[in-house]
Amino acid sequence: MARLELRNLVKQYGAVYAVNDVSLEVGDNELLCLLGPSGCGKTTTLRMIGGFIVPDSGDILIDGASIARLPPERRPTAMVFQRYALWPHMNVFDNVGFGLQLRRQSKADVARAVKQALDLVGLPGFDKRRPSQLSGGQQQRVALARALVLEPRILLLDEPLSNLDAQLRIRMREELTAIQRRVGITSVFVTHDQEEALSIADRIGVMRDGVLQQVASPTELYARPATLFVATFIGIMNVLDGRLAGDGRVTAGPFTLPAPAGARLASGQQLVVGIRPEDFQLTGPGGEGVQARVTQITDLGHYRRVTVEIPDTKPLTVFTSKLQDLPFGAATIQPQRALFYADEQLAGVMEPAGTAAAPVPSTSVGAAGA
Amino acid sequence: MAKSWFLGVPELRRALGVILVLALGLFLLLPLLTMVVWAFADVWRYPHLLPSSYSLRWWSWVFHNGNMTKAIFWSLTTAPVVTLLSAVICLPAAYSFSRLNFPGRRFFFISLLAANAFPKFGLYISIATLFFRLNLINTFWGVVFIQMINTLVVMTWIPAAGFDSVPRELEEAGRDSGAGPFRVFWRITLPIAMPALIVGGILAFLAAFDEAQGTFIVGAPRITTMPVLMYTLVTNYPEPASAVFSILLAVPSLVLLLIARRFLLAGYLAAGFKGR
Amino acid sequence: MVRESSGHARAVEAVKPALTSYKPARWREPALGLLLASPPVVVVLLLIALPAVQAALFSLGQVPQDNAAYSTGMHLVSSPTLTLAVYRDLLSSPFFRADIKLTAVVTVWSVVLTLLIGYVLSLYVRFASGRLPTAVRSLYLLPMFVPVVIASYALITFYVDRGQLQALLHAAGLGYKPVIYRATGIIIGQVWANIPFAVLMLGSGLDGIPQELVEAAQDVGASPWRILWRIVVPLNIVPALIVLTFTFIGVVGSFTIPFLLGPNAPQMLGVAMNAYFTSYQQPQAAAAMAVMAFLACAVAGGLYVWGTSRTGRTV
Repeated sequence: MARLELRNLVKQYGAVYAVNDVSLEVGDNELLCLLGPSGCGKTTTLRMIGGFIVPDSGDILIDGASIARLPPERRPTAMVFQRYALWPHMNVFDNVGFGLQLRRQSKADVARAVKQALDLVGLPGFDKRRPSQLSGGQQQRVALARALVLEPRILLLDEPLSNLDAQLRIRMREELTAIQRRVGITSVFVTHDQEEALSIADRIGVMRDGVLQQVASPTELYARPATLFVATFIGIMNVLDGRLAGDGRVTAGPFTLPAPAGARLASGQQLVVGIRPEDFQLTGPGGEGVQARVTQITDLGHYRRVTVEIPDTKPLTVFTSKLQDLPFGAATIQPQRALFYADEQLAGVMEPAGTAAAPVPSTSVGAAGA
Repeated sequence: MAKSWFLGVPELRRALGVILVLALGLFLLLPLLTMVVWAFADVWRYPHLLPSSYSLRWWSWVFHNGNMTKAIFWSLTTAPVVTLLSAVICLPAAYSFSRLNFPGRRFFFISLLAANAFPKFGLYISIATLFFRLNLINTFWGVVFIQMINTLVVMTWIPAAGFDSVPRELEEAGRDSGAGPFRVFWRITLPIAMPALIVGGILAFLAAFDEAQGTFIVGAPRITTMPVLMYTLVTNYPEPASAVFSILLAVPSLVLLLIARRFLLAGYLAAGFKGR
Repeated sequence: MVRESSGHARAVEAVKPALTSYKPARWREPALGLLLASPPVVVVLLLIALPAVQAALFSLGQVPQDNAAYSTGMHLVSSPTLTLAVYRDLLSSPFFRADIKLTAVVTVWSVVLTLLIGYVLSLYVRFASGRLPTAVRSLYLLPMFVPVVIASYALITFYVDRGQLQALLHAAGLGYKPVIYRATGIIIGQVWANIPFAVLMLGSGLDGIPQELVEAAQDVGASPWRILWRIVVPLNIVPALIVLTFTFIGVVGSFTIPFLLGPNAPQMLGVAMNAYFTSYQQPQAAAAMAVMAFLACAVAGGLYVWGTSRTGRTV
């Protein structure tokens, strides 16, 4: 039970900002994922929380107390490392019990705590094994047990699943979240795998070039990406160049869309319009919308991925229901929902007819002109 | 695991392998075997393939000769002291070269190579004049210092590679578990790097144990080690005397060979010499 | 309840927390590094560099005045300025030129043969399977653990005139031309002593060549020789360079093997140095030889530094 707060963290390597003014709060028992491409600063941020990198400026607080000046061994954090970092010269028991032995706990207490931790991660009776005798998944569990046995207030996980094969990765991430919920521990989880982040996180912080782009729940992140980068990084997004016309309508490639209510846009402003593949309405030729051609249909089981071409426009990716009968050739296409970006920041959302248009959230990051 | 590419026909390959091993074995072992037989020979004249009579008298001669026992004593005291002193001097440096960043790191690391590159005899003469002024001539410590020159490279380079091979994450995990920097070093870094330190130590011991030239210049006549005495034996005594003494001289080394094999000598040695 | 912010623009406006910089002093790590690294460097400085410089100056005509050993009855070149007279005298001596020639011949042959035999053995150990390669693996290490005096002595008893090898050949009805006390004897000794290091280095380099590379070449139909020349050798160039350097340095400066196995004249540099100093009472000539041998070794050392720094490992 602890709250973690990062205030204006900065880490520079030469002229490059590895982490640029990142502020963030993680609540009690929350699992926050830091997500981004490699080199975005997510691991640097995590390592600053753990104490392995000293920030140039800013502060790190746990339950309101600054820990930024403490060395790693005096921080109430525990890290699960990407390659597990189990000590090869110690058996599983000593790996897990090392930190407890340092605390001069009695042998019986250490044994009890280690047994509990190994039970928790599903490895009872493995205490005498050497790390080299364990599979990747088992090593992962030992690393988790080693971190949890110290009862840290914050659990840090550095791409803990990236070295496992695909099937095991999915199983382990389910177990990991189950354990995290059972223990009830505030956690920061770094990953470059958006599916992983979307499936386990309470909230996700997306980073790029050292800058925190948006922190939001997975649903919010997908539905209302605050920046153009988040919009294109999470899921698939069709991106069209647009412009706000004088009549209050937006032209986006071949489409004409109504400008969303409440959007702070000036007439004639250049926009980028993002449309999710499932947000198009695709019907037979001659309907109400833009005339187009279906050039490719990929059946993906429960839905279809359709490539739609319109002259002078990049091909669009559209998801349609399997129930819809759709031949190749002429068709009509019209967006039902669209996201408008001005200066790479979310400026407005066009919701489908009949849905109440929600205002652009004020929590979105660094909105244009703010 | 058939890696048969290196010679197309399996039978040929196998035959070549056998010939190769036999040739190598004969080349390496026959001289040593001949020497071992000599140690037990009494009369052995050409062209007999084996001695015509055997005897152990040269063994008792060696053990009852004061010079011999003295040499054994000096060898078995100087070489371990050199190894320990070299470890004390070189191991912190090895850690430093591997883990710390400081100006001139690569230069200093390579500069140790100078200890191997300058012909020893040229050095020993200059060092002897230096030692003469410092009253180290004919002393135990003079011999120790001169033998230590040969140990610097192996005692620094190989352990440095050993420290290199300890992933930093393992140390970070130790810090994360609540251990301070020194405890992390003792409980995690050092045990994992230990095989490389042992390999470095073994090779340093051999280098010190093997040294004759400098030991002769600095130590003679008071301190003569086994290899130094060996020169006199080879030139002045009948074959069996040298042979017996050689076997005695080889024992510590062969014990070390058996120990070293356990510690994956090859990997650590190669890593140590691969530069940085 | 939750507040996040990020971005360049906001950084300026945001009131920064009191904490701005709390890095440990920047000088601490370099200072500690230098402190820990200095003991062996100081030893090299005192026991190698200083004596080496003294030897070099001595060979250039700077005779130390306070050294009683150089004061009486010795032929010494003493000059207020640096002079190459000692070197000129040495190089004009046909005996010394023969010594140099022998050193060069023995060194080249020893290095080439060590590399060649080392390569064949390490290839065998790497690419053959079964019990024999395992035996080779233990066997080739042996010379590393046999003191070089013993090895030389054992080689003498075996290869000497009317020695064991001649006896064996005689029993087989073959003739024998003794090699001991000739250049060949020295080369045999050097190869014998240097095999372990060569095989260890080359073998570990070969272990680093991924099996897939070899198999990929096999797939496209490359012959074994082609694979060896186009893939294995180029990928294993640095270990070969290391073997070359260290064998070269070892052989040029060697004493024991040429002293015990070599001829009385000409001699290799290491032996000649000894003779000039002790027997001929010409310490300056001995120092000059040491300097020349060092210069040759320095070139080889430069090759090592160049080769290893190109492998992509940076400081």
